[in-house]
Amino acid sequence: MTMLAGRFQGKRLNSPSDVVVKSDGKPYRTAAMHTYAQTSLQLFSQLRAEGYSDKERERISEVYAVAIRLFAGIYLPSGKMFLDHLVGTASILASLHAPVEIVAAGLLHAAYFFGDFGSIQKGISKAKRAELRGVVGDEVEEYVAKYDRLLWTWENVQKVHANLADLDAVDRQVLLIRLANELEHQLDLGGIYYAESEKEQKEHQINMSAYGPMLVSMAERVGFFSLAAEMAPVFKNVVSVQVPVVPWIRSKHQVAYLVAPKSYRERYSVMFWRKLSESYQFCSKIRNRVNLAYGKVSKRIRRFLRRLSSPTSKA
Amino acid sequence: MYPYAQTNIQLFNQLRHAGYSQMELRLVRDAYELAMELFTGRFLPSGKSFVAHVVGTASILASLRLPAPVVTAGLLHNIYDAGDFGDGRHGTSTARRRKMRRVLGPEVETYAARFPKLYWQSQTIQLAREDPDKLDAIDRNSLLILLADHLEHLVDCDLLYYDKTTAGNYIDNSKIATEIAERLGLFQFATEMREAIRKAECAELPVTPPEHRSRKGAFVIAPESCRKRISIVLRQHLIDAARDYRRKLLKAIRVVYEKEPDTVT
Repeated sequence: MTMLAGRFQGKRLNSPSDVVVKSDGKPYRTAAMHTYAQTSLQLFSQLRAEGYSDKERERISEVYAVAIRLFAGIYLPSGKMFLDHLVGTASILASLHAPVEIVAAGLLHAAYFFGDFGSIQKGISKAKRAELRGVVGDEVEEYVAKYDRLLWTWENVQKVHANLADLDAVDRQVLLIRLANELEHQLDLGGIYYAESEKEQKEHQINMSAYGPMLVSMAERVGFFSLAAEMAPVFKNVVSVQVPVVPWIRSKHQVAYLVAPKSYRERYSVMFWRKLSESYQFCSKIRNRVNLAYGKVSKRIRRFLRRLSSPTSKA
Repeated sequence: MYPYAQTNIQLFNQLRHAGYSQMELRLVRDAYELAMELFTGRFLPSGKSFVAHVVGTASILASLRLPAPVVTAGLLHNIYDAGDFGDGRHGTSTARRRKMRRVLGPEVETYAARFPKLYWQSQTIQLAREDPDKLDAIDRNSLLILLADHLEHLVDCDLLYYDKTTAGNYIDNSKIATEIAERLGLFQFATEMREAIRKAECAELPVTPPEHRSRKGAFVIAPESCRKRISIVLRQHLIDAARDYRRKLLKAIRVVYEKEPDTVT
């Protein structure tokens, strides 16, 4: 095998399958593998190559040990391990030479969303914050908590975009973690793999065509130019790529989910609360449907009675 | 940064670009789902997830353009020794083999069952070193999985996180693997292996391995919201108690024998 090219468009290529030659003879980069770390070993090597000190690498290693504990057995709906996504996010931050505390926060950014603290309570809580602060320190925990508080709905994204000038130094770093997270999700076409039909893929691409440029603009306006330069082609590729619809993973989960080892079972307290909340959600759903049906039926009955009582119907 | 896939999405992208058919992708998908179930929460001594390792092995096999069943078997290569089937046991059993055969078909299962028997002093390895043309298709493909497994451990210096003896054995065996790869005509693979060995022999670890972590082999981190099943705990207790009882009995016999050898005989 002869190496045809080591780099393309300024990016280092990882493997022969990274380049495909189009019918017009021009090569283009594919998303088979990318330059960011996906495992802890890759991340540690990258940190050394990027010039992070021994002490800083040891710090990341400690935080990784915490991430393992919180995210063991948790997968994204695409079937990718959540841990790999966290490592990928930290790797993007490291490639931007972010301070070690930010890289560490990137490694734990979703701790309060999806981390398994063994508690029955979902989301952030005082006890969880105290626990995390005890193992990773105040600064990293503060970033993670702020990340959790940064509501990322379409309306809020627009609001953040409009008010970028108001962000303080900490908020800007939290935004950087968020942008790195978004890039990591799209780098390997993860979003496209979630889709179960062509319609869903198209919807995702339409969303990305509006959402992607906004993220790029955010990165540019906050001064993360190299991140913006990295994001633009990735989001462009997501919008235009065609991936055959294969049910890549047959899970029906819409968000990250736990796959427990078979020798283990869910703790009874956790199971009880989960079932209780599931039953509550189910009952709420039924109640809403019944209300909706009742509204429709009563409206029809009223309309029917009105017609009966109107003088024209008597005639 | 790293030439091979480490996540399922990277692997699917790689297979798609390499021209594997939809049917073949589905087979790999099924195997990945099984790997997710059986290797969940399992980590190598370096802290790298076991799932990433098996995906890497499959990716190496795919880069050699091997048939889909071999790539699939790469995803499940250590399933009988490292997979958690929920019965607290290790190794191959008829029930496990039947289950695997039902999910993935007989060919993939045959490779997976062959893999644990391929130790470096085995006849197959000797034959591969002397006359690889005499190997049958199953042995040849199983051997390729073993070579890919070794390269995967080497290429990111994962094996350096094992204890010194295990790491040394890995490197020695990888040298044999290089020789076999050359005999099998996989020159590019052999070059890559040689380069990886050279790198591993002089590499320094970027971080110190945590002291509490096992350095002998893979370990499991159970999710915080889970507990070990009672049946498994009881079984383990019984096994430990039986071992303890046997040890005490042997000790007692030895004491009696030392005092009055004739009586015991």
